[in-house]
Amino acid sequence: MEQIYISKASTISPQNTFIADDFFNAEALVCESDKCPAVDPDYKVLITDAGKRRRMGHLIKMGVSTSLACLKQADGSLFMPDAMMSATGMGGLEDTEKFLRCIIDNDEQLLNPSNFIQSTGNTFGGQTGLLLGHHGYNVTYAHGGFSMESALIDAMLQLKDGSAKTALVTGADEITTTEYEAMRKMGFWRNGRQMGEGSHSFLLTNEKEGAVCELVDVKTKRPLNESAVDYINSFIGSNGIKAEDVDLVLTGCDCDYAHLKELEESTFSTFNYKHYCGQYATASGFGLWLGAELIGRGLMPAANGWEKKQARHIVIYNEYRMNDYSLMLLKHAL
Amino acid sequence: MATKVTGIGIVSALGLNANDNWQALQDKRTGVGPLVRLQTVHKVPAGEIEQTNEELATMLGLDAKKTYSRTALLGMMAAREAIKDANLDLNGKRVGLISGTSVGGMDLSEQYFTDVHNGKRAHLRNLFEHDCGASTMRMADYLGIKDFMTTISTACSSSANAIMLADRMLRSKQLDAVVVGGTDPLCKFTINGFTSLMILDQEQCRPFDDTRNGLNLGEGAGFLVLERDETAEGKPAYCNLLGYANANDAYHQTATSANGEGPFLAMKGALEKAQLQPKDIDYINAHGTGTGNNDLSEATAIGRLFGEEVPPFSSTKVYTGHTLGACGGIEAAFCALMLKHDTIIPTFNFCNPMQELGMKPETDVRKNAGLKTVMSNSFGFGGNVSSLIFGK
Repeated sequence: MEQIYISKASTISPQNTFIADDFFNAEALVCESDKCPAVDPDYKVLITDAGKRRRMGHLIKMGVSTSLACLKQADGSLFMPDAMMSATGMGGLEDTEKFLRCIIDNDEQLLNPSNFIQSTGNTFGGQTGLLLGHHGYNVTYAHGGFSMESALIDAMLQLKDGSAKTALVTGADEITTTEYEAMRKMGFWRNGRQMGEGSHSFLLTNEKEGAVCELVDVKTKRPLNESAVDYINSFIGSNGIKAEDVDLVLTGCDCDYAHLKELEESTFSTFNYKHYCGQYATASGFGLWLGAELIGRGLMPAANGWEKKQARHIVIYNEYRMNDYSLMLLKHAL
Repeated sequence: MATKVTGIGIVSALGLNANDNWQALQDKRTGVGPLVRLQTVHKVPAGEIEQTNEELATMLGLDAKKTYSRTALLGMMAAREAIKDANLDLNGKRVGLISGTSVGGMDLSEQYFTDVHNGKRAHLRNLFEHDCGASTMRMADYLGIKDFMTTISTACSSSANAIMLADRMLRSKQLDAVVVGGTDPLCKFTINGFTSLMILDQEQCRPFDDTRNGLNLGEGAGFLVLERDETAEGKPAYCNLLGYANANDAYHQTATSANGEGPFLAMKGALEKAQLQPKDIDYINAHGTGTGNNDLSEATAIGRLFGEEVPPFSSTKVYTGHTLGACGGIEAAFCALMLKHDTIIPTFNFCNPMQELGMKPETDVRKNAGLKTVMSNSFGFGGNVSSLIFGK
């Protein structure tokens, strides 16, 4: 079976990640508040058409920016991938809410279509396609904590069956006041849980040359009716990998502290990334970005930042609202 | 290997099961009429399902006091029928659920924001069904599907795209059977959204007619059970899924290009995937919304691909209204029925061909049509266009 590689990755997150060197040259600090907004890059430089930029909501700006960053080649031109898969748990929630309020407050009169147009789940995928003039496959997944994973699974299937040689996969979600407040009223942000946002893009190929790392497998499970360690062991086992060959498990635990405790007490080396990016449907994209960059740069988490050490395999374990449990397996491409 | 359609389930304004839908189609009876259930100031005809959420929940054996989005309820009803129709045993096989929807639990979100606006107590539970995936999860729980589930949201091509992923999951042997399709409710959000874009016809829609003036919205759900031929041993099947393609028009967020580049590429790609020639297609179930832009663009693309030998084509949206994220699933099920009964369901409200092209859709029910291979088109906002091919 053909191997699949991540040839490039780009992330906007609550950390200073858009220029990855800056992030890895400093000590990563956990988010302090229960609301972790993204560190926005200068969108003027990235989306140069002022008119288009003005009409884009925050979600679309983030999604388009990491997508373009992933496609930008050394000579400044944009690489045209065969397929584009996007992912968002909530879609253009800000625009959806604006349009809904407009309907209700104005008794269904005086409607502005631009919020409606931006509200559909596939806006940043569609907008990126439009900006690129891309006529290939373009699909958006919107399924809670499996959105990012579904987009990756689709991309991997197409790279394996030969439908595509290259695929751009982007997952993004934004913080909205309504969702934050609703979750706050439910008591959700207690116990150190935090709301985050971001966009994560990955260019996948069959080419090993110049790859950041190999993406071996992605799995989703709902409900999780076994221990997190058993879940990981059967997943890596099905890929012919032993527990001792996994150098790091990135634990994206945010709700279920029993799982975090279980993983931290297991024989796996762990690093919980959720306090760096917060919780949102596509936060596993942050975990995937972190894992890929660590392998690609030959780094591992250390007491005060990162240390030079080459991981062979990294597993990304992600939970979303005690409902969606996913795993991803990365391997070095040396 | 081949991917077989072993079961179908349809819920639309024509009825709550596939039989009622098929009967109405053969009788050329439309489900599009004045809105009764949904409260809105806009006086537009639509393909509305008369049952309330409570009535649907009761029919499904659910506690009517619990909160279910209309999206989830419609989807449960169609998917349940498809599973029963396929006689699918969920225990013996790895079964997935892949659903397409454009608005998710919007009917409940509208209730929440209306309550907030009116200073009433707004229930948070009405907000937590909002995201598209929530409706799929409720469906999976109701149906007992655990092995895989996901949701695609590419506006009006959502469920057609879901069918493509289902086929890939089957061919890669990650799953043995997939319950796949889509569901969308009528809601104020979409009625106002399409009103703001000025593409809702105040009369019944007239696909491919020169006087067409917009679309009628509808609601419903359409699901298929897809299985690999070797795991569906001996089961009767409606047809096989032969090919498909998704392309991006990359022209405008809400309009299709004049030369129909995206639709052309999707139809051409589907033919290539199926290893077929244009002459092999016996019928096209067009996206055919009835908007000035869609129908001209789609017909232009059909003309570019099929040349002088355009196969019979029609739009079934005159019966159901445009069911958005559900239309790809509903129309795939219609195609399965047309193949099974060897009958072409026509469009109606057609009088004058479009001045630009002069192409005429089918206007009469055609039995013994000799159908072997049919194509179904679904186009969505964002330039997402998809084409599926089913065959005997």
